Order: sequence, then C-alpha cells, then structure tokens
Amino acid sequence: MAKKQGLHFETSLPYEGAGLRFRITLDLQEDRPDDQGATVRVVAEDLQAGKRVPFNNEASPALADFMAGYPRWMVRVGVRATQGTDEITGRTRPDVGVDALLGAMRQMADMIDQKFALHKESVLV
Amino acid sequence: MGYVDIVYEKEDGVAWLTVNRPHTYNAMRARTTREMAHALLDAGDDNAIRAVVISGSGPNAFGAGQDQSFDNPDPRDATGHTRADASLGFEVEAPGGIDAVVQWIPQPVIAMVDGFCIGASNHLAYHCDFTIASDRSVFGQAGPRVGSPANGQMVSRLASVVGQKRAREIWYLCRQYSAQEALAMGLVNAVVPHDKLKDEVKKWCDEIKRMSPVIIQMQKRSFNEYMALENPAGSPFQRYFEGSFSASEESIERRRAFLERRPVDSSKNVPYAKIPLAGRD
Repeated sequence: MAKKQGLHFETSLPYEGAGLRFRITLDLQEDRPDDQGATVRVVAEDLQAGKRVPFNNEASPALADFMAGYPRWMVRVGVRATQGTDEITGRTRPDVGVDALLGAMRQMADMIDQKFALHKESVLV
Repeated sequence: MGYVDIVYEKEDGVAWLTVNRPHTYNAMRARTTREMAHALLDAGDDNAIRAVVISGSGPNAFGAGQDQSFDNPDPRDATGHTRADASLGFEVEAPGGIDAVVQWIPQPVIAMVDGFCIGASNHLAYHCDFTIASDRSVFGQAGPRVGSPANGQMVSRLASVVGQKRAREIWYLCRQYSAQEALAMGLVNAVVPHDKLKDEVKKWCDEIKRMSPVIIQMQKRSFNEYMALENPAGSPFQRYFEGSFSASEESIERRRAFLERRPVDSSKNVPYAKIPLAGRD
C-alpha cells in the first residue's frame, strides 16, 4: 500500500494599501485517517501592528464583508469552511490530491488578491 | 464617504468605479448601491470627468445582481435592509435606484463587462450608455427563478434595447447568453478578448473626450427622456399586489433554494394578483 503524501504550506499575502496581511495555511498530515482531508486556515493581520484583525464592522467593514462571503465561495475550490471571530477554518475532501490542493490554495490567494489589491487606502477603522 | 464595497478612482478625465466584492461575484447589497450612487454623483458634478466606467473586480464577474445571501428569513441583510429596500437615501429625477443615477449624470457611462453579468447587474449594464464586453462574458436575468420581484421601468427598458420578444425571453426564462449572442441582439456595443478589454474601453473614452461634453449630455437626455416616455417610472403592478413579495414565503423559498442549489418547492408560490377587467366580475 502506497504511503500517504503529506503537505504543509503557508503563504503570506501583504497588502500595503489595504493595511492588511493575510496568512493562509494548508496542512495535510501523512498519518491522517482515510476519511480526513487537509485542514485550511485563513487569518488577517494588521500589517503595521502584526496583530490579528477580527472579522467585524468595528475593526474593518471591508474585511468583515469579505470574510462573511469567503467561506461560501471556498466551496467552489473544494474547501468546506466556517468563519470564526478572527479566522476561517476549513477542510478539504479526503480524496483531493496534492496538485489539486495546491491549486485550491492558489485560487484562495487569488480571491484575496482580487479584493484587496485594489485598495490604496487602509481598510482598517 | 469611506467606500467599503467599491473602489472609485479618477484618472485622465475618466472616473473608474469598480464593484469590489469578488467573493460574491460582485453581487450588490444595499451598501454597494449607495456607495455607487455617491461616487456616480461625485463624477457627475465634476466637469473634468468626461466618461464614467463601471466594472467588477476580478475575472469572474461584472456582477451577479443583488446579493441573495441574506441570513435572516424575514428577509433582511445584516444591515437591516430588505432586498426590496435598496433605496439610495435620496431620489433622482426619475426614481429607479442606481439605474436612474446612471441615466441622470451628464457623462456617458460605460459598463465594462468581464464575466457574469446577471440580474440587477445586467439591468445596470443595459441602463449604461455603452456596454463593452470581454469574450468570456455571460448575460442574463434571474428574478423569476430566485424570487426577486423586479418590475416597472427597469424591466421594460430592456425592450427598448433589444426589442420586445427578446426582452421577454431574457426576463421570463432566465436564460444566459454569451457575449457574441449579446452583441448580435444589441445588448452590447463591442466584444473583445478579455486581455484587451481595458484598452478597448480606454479607446472609447478617448473618443468621447474629443466630443462636446454638453452636446453629449443633451443627446443622453434626449435618449433617456424618449425611453422614459416608452417606459414610465414606477411600478404599476404594485397597484394590484398586496403586501411585499420580498417578504412572501415564495420569495424566501426561491432565494434559499438558489443558495442551497436545490429545486424550488413550488407549493410556496404566491397566487396571481387579481387584475380587474372592465365588465367582468
């Protein structure tokens, strides 16, 4: 029986204009159970302070709106996710291969880029 | 006004308004249309601006219409507005929300369409003076499918653009049309490869800038007043319909079915409104 592949991947997406840094983490354990896929986590940080930004209107209406819709969109790239107060956590299907996971990661980063690369002023309150 | 849902920039005589909600395929909530109206009126008041371009962020969509992802079943979005209540907080000469603002400002407005252009985004596009589309664009309406009760001028105006039969097909059947099909029926002015779209729109803007601004304004008014005669403002159907369709079980069911990607439970359908006929009980 072939050994399962593992994968740990992190990406950091800084947006100077918007004043935010996004971190996406994807983790696929080698010794995972057969019915378990990779875990995905997305957080946003204040680019200056380095602290996590909560997903609410008091901190950033633009971020709050984005993070309310982002988990629904993530289904399109094969990730079932839920929104917490300051992080998105999700899981992929167990049968998704490493190539497809990397593709999903790229699309998740691209969606963040579509939204926040356009901002020339801070979206933080 | 601090913009959350849009990005608004002025450059070289052109105002660029980008709906920036790519995670919803640039669907519009009440806040989005208010911000758009604010930006459009700013452009309208600026003599240095000679053309306005509306687009959506990212490669997927110009816009997916009104945002259907309301969490509350009453149905209200997080800001407390029903989807029928996307008012702008003010009235322009002809009521009709963001479509009316597009018509009211003096400059030509170009819809720069790349990707899906559906529902309220489609009628926004056909209220613009020009529509320039990428070759991967798709056009259509969705109201009868998702329970969004569009009626009145915003609906009937499409007949002035593509003719009665096509307009009714588009609105009743919710089919989707390729950019080339849209071009053939007169819904768009030009179709170009997606990587040439912005350059093409800039060419149209440059052409506009060589013309007399106030004569274009006169002509824009002429077209819009003629269309207003054909398509009077208001919602005549509302006379016959009691209550709010948006708050009906059918509206909620259709929206949920759409979001949950399942067939609609047609037992929730609202009965026809009774429209009186002279001489008949």
